[in-house]
Amino acid sequence: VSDIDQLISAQLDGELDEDGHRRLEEWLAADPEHRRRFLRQSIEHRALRERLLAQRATAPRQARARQRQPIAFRLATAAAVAAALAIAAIGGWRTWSRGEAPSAPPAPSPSAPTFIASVTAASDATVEGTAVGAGAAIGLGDRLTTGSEGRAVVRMPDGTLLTLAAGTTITLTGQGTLVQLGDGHLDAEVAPHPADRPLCFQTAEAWVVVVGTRLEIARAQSETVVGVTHGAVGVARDATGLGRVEVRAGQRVLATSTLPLTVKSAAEALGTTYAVGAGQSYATLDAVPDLGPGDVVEIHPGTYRTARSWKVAGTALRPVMIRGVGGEPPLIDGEGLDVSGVGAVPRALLQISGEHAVIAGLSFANARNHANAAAIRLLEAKSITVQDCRIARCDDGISCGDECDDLAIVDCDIGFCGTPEKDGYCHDVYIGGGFALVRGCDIHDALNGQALKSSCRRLEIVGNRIHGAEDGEISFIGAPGTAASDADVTMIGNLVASKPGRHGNSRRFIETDDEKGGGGGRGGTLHLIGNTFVAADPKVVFVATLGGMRVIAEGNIFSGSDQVALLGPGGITGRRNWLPPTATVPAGLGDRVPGDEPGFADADAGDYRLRSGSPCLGAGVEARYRDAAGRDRVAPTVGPGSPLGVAARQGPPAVGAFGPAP
Amino acid sequence: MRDDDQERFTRLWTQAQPAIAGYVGALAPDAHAADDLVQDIAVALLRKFPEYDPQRPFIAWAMGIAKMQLLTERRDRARAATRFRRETVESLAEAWQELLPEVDERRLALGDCLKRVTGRGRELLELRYQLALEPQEIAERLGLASGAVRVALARVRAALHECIERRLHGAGP
Repeated sequence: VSDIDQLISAQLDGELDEDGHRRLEEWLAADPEHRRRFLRQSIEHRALRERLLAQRATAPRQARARQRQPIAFRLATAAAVAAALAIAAIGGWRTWSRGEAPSAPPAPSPSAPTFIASVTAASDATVEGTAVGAGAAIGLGDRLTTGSEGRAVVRMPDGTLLTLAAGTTITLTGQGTLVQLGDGHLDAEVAPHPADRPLCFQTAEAWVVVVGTRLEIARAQSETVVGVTHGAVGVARDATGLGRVEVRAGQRVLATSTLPLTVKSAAEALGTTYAVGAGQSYATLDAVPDLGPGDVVEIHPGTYRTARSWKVAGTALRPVMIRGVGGEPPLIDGEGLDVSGVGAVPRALLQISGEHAVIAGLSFANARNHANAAAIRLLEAKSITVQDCRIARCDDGISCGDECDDLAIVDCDIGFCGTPEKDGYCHDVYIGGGFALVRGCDIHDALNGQALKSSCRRLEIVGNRIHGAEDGEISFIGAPGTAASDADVTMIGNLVASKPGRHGNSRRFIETDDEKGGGGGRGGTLHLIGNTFVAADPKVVFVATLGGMRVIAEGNIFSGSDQVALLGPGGITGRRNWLPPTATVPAGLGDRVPGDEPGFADADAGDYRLRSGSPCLGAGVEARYRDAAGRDRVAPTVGPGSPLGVAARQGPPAVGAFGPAP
Repeated sequence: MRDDDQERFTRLWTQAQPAIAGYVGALAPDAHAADDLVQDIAVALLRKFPEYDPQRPFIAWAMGIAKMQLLTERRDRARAATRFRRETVESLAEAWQELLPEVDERRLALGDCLKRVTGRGRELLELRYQLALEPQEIAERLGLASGAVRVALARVRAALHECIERRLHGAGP
C-alpha cells in the first residue's frame, strides 16, 4: 500500500496529523488527476458508509454492539433545509423573513444512538431497498418504505409509535426529531416531547410540529391532509411557520401548494357538500354542478327519476363522494327516461367521467334503451369505486370502456340485467380498461348475457358470488393490451354457479376469447385459486380458452360436470383441485384431491360449505400469484361473505371457496 | 420568499443536495460536522435564493456558495470541519463538478466490488463503517496494533478503488 493511499485513508478517517495534511495538500496541488483520485475515494468512502449502515439496519438489533456518537443538531436530507427553525421554535415558529435568528441547537446527547428507531412489526417493508422485519433498526437518514400491501410499525426511543400504511415512505432525520413523509399514510402516536424539542413531520406541502398527541398524515398527488385524534398540533406550509394554523382533536387540515390552510372538522368534507332530496338544498341530482376535489353529494332517501352525466375531478386524498345517506338507499330509477346515449343524452343513469370518485350506498333500476343502457357507465374514468350499491333490471348493470383504469366494484348486488332485444350482448357487469377489482359482490341472474364480462387488461375477482346467468357466467375478452404476457386475471375465493335450463349457451361457464379482435386476444395467466365452481348442467365446460391465455388452477372445486377444460395453446396446469371422479382430466391437473364427492353441506340449498368428512377439508395449499403490480403474493384464504363482502378463513386451508360448515 | 419561489428552491435543492453533500463530505472527514455544514449551506442558499439567476445551472451556483461557506466556516471556527487551504478547497470544487456524472456509476460499482471483500478486510470495513469504530478501537477489539489496522484499512480501500476503476473501465473483474 502506497504512502499516498495511507494519507488518503487517514484523511477519510479524520486522523491525519499536521505533517500528513501538508503532504496530502502538496500531492493534491501537484496534479488534477490527484484531486480526482482523492475525490473518487471520498465518494467510495461515503458510499461504503451508507451501504454498510443499510445492511446493518436489516440485522437483528441486539447484534449491534456500539453506536456512534451523534452530533447535536443535524439534518440529513435536502428538504430539511429549515428544520432547525421549526425544531427550535416551538411556540414561536420563527421566520427568516422577519429576520429572527433560529434558536441555538440543543446540546449534544452523548447517549443518543445513531439508530434512532426500530421496527416492531412489518410486512412488505424495506429500508433503503432491503427487506426488513420486526427488530430491524432504522438509522438516521434511512428511508423506510412499505409496499402496496405492506405495513410497518416503528417505535422511537421516546415511545412514539409510527404506523405506516401500504405504499408509504418515511425518512427519519434531525436526530430523530424530524419525520419526512413522501407519499402514503402515517398514523403517529407521539410521546410527550419537550416544548423546545418537538417532533416534526414534513411533507412537500406541510410542516407539522407536535409535542405529544395522536395524529395521522396522508400525502398523495402533491396534497397533504393532517388529522388530529388527540391533543393539538401546529401546521404550516413550511418551516418558516408562516400562515400556521392549530389543528385540534377531531379536526383536519388540507395542505397544498396553492390553497390556504383551512382547518375543518374531521366529519366535514374537504370540498363542498351538496345535500340532495326533498327539503334539502338541492331537490334533484340534476341541479348539482360538476364536482371538484373533496366534494360530497349526499343523496337522501327517496326515488329520483334522473339520468345525468357528471364530471368529477377528485384526488387521491380528496375523492369525490356520491353517496346515499339517511337509511334506506335512495333509488335512482330510469323508468321511462331517455338513456339512448344520443348526443348529450347519457347512456346511463349515472354517467361518470373524471377521476377519484366513490359512488356508494345507492340503488339503481330500469336503465333501458333496449340495447346497452347502464345503471352506472364510466367514460374516460380513473380510480372510481362503486361500493355497496344495488343494481337491478337494467340493460347493463355497470359498464366502462377500454379507456378507463383502476376501477373497483366492491360489496355490490347486481342482478337481473339484460334485454331480450340484444340477447347475449347485455351483462350484469361489462367492464374494460386497465385494472379492475371486483370484490365481495353478488352478481347474478343476468337475463341476456353473462354475469361478468371484461376486457380489462388486468382483473382481480375476489370473494364474489357469481351465478345464475342465462348465457354463461364469466367471459374475458380481448382488447388492446390484453395479449401481453402480464395481462393476468386472478380469481380467488369465488363461488361461481350456473343455473339449469339456460335459454342461452348451455356449455359456457368461464371462457376467454378474442371477441373484440384488433390484435387483442388474451395473453397472460388466468389464475384460479380456491374457488368453488358448480355446474348445474353436465354439458358445462368450466374453463374454455380460445387464445393464448394459460390457466393455473390451485385448490378449486369443479363440481357438476366432467368437462373441466377446453383449452387453447396456453394450456392448463395446477394442483390440489377436486374434480369429479369421472372427469376428463387435463394432463396438467394430475395432482387431484381424492374423493367421490366434494362434501358440500347442502348443495340443493346453495350451501357450499364443507361438511365434516369432506375430502376438501385441510387439503388446500398456499398458492402464490402475481398481483396487479406484477409482484409475487400469497393468495388470501377467503370466500364470499353473507350476503355481501368477503369472509376470511382461519385454520388449515380447505379446497374451494368455503371452509367447514359448523 | 414567495410560495412559488419556496417550492422552486426546494425542488432545485433536492436535486443538488447529494452533490453538495458529497463535496463537503470529501473535505470534512467528520460526518457529523459535514452534515452540519450542509445544513448551513442550505440555509445560506435559501437566504440568497432571490439573487439566483435561473439562467445559470443551480448546481454551479450552489457549489460556489458551498465553497464560500466552507471557507468562512474554516476561518470562523476553532475546530473547523476542514483544514484544507483556500486553493485546495477551490481546486477540489472544480474537480468535483467534473466528477459528478460518474458518482452514481461509481456507487453502483462499489456494491459489486464490496461483495468480493471477505475475511479480515470485510471485518475491518464492518467495524469501521457499521459500528463506526475508530481505527484505535478496532485495534483494541481485534488485538492488533493500531498502525496495522490503519495500514489494513488503507489497503482494503485501495483495493476497492482499483476494483471499481477496473469495472468502470471495462477491464473486469
